[in-house]
Amino acid sequence: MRTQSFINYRQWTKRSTAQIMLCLLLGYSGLVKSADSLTPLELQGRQIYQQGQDGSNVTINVTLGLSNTSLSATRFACANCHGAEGEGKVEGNLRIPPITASSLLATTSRAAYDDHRLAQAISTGKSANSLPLDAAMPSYTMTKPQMTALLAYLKRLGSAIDVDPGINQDAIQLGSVLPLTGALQATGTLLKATLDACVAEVNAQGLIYGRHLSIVTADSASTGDGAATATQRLLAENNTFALLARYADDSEMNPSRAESLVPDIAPITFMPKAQTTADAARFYFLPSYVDQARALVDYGVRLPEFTQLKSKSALALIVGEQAVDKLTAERVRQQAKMHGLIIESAVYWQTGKIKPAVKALLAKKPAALFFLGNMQELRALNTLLLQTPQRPILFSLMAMLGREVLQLPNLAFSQVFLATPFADNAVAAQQLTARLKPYAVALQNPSLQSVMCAAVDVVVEGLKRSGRQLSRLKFLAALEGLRNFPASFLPPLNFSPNSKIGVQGAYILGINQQGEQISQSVWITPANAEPTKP
Amino acid sequence: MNNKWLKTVFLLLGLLLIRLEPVCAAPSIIAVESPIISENIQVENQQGHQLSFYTDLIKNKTVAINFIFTTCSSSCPLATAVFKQVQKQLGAQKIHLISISVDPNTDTPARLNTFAQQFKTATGWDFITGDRATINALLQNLEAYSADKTLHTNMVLIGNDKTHTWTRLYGLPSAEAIITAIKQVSPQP
Repeated sequence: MRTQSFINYRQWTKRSTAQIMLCLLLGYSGLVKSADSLTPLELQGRQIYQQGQDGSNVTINVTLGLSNTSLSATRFACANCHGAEGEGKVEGNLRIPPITASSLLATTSRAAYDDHRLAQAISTGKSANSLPLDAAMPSYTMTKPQMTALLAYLKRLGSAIDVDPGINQDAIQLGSVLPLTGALQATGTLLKATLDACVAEVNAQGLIYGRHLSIVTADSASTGDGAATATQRLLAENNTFALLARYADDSEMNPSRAESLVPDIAPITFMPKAQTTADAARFYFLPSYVDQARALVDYGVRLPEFTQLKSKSALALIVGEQAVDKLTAERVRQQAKMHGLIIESAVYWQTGKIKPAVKALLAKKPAALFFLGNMQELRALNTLLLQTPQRPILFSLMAMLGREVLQLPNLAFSQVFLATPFADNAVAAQQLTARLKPYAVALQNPSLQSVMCAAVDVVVEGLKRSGRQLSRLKFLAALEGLRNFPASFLPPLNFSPNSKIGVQGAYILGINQQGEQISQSVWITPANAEPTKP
Repeated sequence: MNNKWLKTVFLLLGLLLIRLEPVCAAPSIIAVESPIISENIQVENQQGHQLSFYTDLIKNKTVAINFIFTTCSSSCPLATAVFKQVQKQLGAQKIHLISISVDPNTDTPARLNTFAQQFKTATGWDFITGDRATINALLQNLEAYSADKTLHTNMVLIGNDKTHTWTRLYGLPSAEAIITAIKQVSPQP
């Protein structure tokens, strides 16, 4: 099963000490034969070392001496035990040796390793002296080209050029994707200027461990496909350390495993993906539609107007055509049920066929409507309502409707309650205006502009906590430790290994019939249902 | 002549020892004190079910217990792969497997479930977490507590509550060693 000889190795066994020293200088240390970056072969080896696979469809397997089983190497990548820089570690009573070039070349109780002996150790679990290594060391089965790549990389492991993409001696390159052309061009251009201003501000304050920040923004052309393509193109150039504040397409697929290791800070979306290992590098700043809607329910049921609602038909749900509207509606029902309220009346939007359904719903004289749809649908509903004497209370999400809702003339609702993740905060507005002023950027879209600068602030904090020996893994671990990190109009961000969504919930704005904002709640974190008992 | 005779004697002795070796290969287990586990210790498994550690997991069962945490990348996947092999070879009837998280703050039931699924674990294997103070007290009871989670023990605690026979295997034991110990603590038919 195991491939014993992958490479036509030179016979190293009789190599003199002098030859080994020469090899150390020329080959392993990288001191003389210095290159600026890893070669494609070494990069392939790096992926094998770090992930137990090389992105091809040729699976690398491990045989574990302890259990005599064969498994995929992705769970047993070299770096998991020997460390990202080959430094080794102690865990429990397991002592994992360092495997940097210098430690492999050192003659200790065993002979020095050469390519042949190293390939043997990796594939058969035998040391340079052909003695069995610790039983914890798996035996890897890989193809000859994969082994060649891994051995090539091991000579660079932990050296100055063995760094993640986008890290140079004096710079860290970041990437973003914004709509610089198309329908959202104006917003995209403003956000790019904001992002550039906040990066320039950081650089003006000094270097981070000797490095300055640079940022490249790719154009999404205002479409979801465009955003996905631009992101992939950016990553394919292999020169981006982290993505930040990129316009994310809500429908985009899960990232590939290689992409999933790229730090992705503050993607602009209200549909954060569920927490899986593949999404471990995504740090969301914005709460989901679902959590905002659940916060709205929790707020609503405590209103005095609401506690008087005893009739079941008093509360109705109007759901837009998007899949996310339906998903959010389902969670609104569950949240209401938790408070003992069953929502029986509901209308699911169908363009052109909505009038009779809404009329039938209004005939039940609901006192309050939960509306989960877009502004166009709300306008149509408002028009229908104006034809009736009914003026129910409206509950909805600012993130679904946009700020236009505040400018809607002739509101057909007695009151409106809108969930939003952004507080109306004069101090935060002043601070952001002052930050952007030197770079001639005006505050036109405070919410999103604040996310741009908060993303830069979080990246800077993560970099400061990671140190000069920077890697994506260290950076991600640093971000997992961020607690109560100020984020302008958003409440302070909290991340942990179990939560990559920085805030959950919403502020609830109260709007009167004249469209004036009359109240703003404290931040509401939605209550979770009691865990089910067995 | 004398020398030759001596050589023959040593050779014969050597052969005899080699012949004897398989007999000595399965040393009997080193019995240890039964751990004292209060019936009041409430824990949670990977499905989020509230369990009494003693009543639901230990009482009248043959168990093997190891100590892991999901953010541990080196010894824990190995120890879990070893347990997987034990389960595969013995089946859930013969052994109940328990993996206790030494990092209950991070290891939520959902997180343990994801970890368990990566190893395609079958029923009869509970991944345990819970309130930090409770888990720490439990670990201390089982002599597996470590203030630093990365220095947690790779010991496997194997025992049968009915026969009160318990043993400890130290230092990442192999599946084979665990199975041998399980057979020895199990009540003989």
